[in-house]
Amino acid sequence: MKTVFFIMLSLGLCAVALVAPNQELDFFVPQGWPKPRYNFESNPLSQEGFELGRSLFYDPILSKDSTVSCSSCHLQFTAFAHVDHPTSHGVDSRVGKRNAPGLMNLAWAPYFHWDGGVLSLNGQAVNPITHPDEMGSDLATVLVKLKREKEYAAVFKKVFGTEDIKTQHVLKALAQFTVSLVSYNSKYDRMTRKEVKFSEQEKKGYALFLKHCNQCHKEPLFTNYEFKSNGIGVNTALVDSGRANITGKAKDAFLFRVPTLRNLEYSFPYMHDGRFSKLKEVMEHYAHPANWAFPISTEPVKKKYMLNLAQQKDIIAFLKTLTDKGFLFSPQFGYSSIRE
Amino acid sequence: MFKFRFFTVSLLAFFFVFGQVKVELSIHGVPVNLNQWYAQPNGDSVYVTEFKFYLVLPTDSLVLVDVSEQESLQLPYFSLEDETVLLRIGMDSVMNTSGRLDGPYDPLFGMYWAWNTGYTQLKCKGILQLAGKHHPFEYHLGGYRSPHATSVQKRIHWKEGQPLSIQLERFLSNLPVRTQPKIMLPGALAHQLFKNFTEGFQ
Ligand code: HEC
Ligand code: HEC
Repeated sequence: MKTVFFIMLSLGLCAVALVAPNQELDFFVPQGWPKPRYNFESNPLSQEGFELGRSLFYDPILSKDSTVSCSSCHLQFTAFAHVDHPTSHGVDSRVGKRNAPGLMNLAWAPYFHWDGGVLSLNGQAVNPITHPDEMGSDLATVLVKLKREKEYAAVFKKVFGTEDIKTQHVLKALAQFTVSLVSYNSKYDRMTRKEVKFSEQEKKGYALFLKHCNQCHKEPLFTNYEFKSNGIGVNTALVDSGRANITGKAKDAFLFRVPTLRNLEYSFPYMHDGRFSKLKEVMEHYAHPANWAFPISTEPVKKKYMLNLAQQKDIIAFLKTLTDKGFLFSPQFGYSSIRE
Repeated sequence: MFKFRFFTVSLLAFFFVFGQVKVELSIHGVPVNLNQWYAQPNGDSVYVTEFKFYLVLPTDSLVLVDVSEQESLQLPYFSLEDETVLLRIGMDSVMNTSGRLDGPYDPLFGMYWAWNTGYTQLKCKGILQLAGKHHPFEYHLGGYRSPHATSVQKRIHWKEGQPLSIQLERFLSNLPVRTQPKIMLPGALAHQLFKNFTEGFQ
């Protein structure tokens, strides 16, 4: 009789465990924004999945010598870009070839990296984990290390229904975190929602921006995701041929994906090689056609505009309205570890 | 461990009942094993340390054949049409970009191209000895963009009970080890080498 009772009890507990679902997480699409491109069916978001991804993002366990985490190169308060270094640093202080971009609004991106070579956010993290200049590890080792951590095993089981942690689970958990990094509460956003007003200078800067910059840095995401050249000239120390690395076509040489300008004030240094550390320098480049080097896309060339110092300052004032402090300092996206 | 054993045992039982297809790679009629020298008729010899490639079976299922993993040389059974079988060697572009990361798609197998989404369809590493000189080589052949897509559909003659035979001499005797000992990028050359490989399917 006792045994029967225990069997009933454990069956009951199993049933509860089975039906207690992951708490689903709705993905918020700000008003007036296009439809996200991320395939949420491939990786349904849940509160637990997000927290698992967040913990992994901040955990150096993913690197060869357990010294480098994703956040070593993608810091929250710099809009998840690498601060200070023109190109990113990884394990053994190895220096990469490119500037780590900020991570935000990734759900809308049709492809990733400066050359658009990465087509899915789910697969993206294989790059940093296995790249010798970044985390320098290999996936088999990462899985072994993760399976050894009891807390991780339990959460993986909860999120993906198995303790047999596979590559896809690690990658999908990371993607649940990174795809949730949505920045939509800058002064610019609140202005478009008519919650605040721009200053006179910001208004002037916005008008200039729409005239000279918006073709490529298209609102509301501040990129059209196309491959262009803004005429900064080839960096002879790195000779990065950009998009042509992927397509092998001469016409794509030295083209890079137009970056978003959101949270720009905090995501310095700028450009694929991090050559400019100040917005002033960026504006100085765009202001004078004499600075424009080959190759350069047709949009700016057709106009051959000049911007005087006051206009440059106006544009910078506008660019600063793209800062979203709520995003940069939100505890929801900050450090967390399920190992402690 | 127990689970894994149970899985293998049931898989074996399945094959026992339904049959299976063995992949046989050869150089001039000699079966290929890793880490072994093979003399070619012209006096050169070749030593292969790694050989893996993707096949799409008539059932549309994807398999990764890895010469270092004996089990992967046993393909699940597929049925015949008039003693021929339609195979795809190398995934097509849809499979390349499907975003699936499970089973044979797992980046763990080292076939996933992280910085240029897609998969290497054939990975081959080794040494070619030409006129007494050693030339190490490493080829990661892939790419799904036309005109250099490394994916070929081929009707192959095959009889029930026979192995699926792949002759590697054409591929191995045309490796550009002097000029291009390493290829890690899609393009015309990767495409040509991959084609040489597919021509070894009987
Ligand atoms: C050593 C520094 C470094 C580390 C560590 C690192 N990244 Fe990155 N990350 C970069 C660089 C550099 C790029 C740009 C690569 C390129 O364009 O070729 C990048 C790009 C990205 C992108 C694409 C962003 C876009 O808009 O295209 C994502 C997403 C990303 N990283 C997530 C991660 C995750 C998740 C981790 C941890 C698993 C991680 N990164 C670890 C340096 C790093
Ligand atoms: C032809 C399209 C095009 C136009 C027009 C354009 N840009 Fe850009 N912008 C780019 C590209 C491409 C990059 C990345 C270049 C690189 O890294 O090589 C870029 C980079 C930037 C960056 C650096 C962002 C970062 O995170 O590194 C800033 C800031 C910027 N642009 C501001 C502007 C402003 C302000 C204007 C108008 C005066 C403007 N852009 C007009 C294409 C354009």
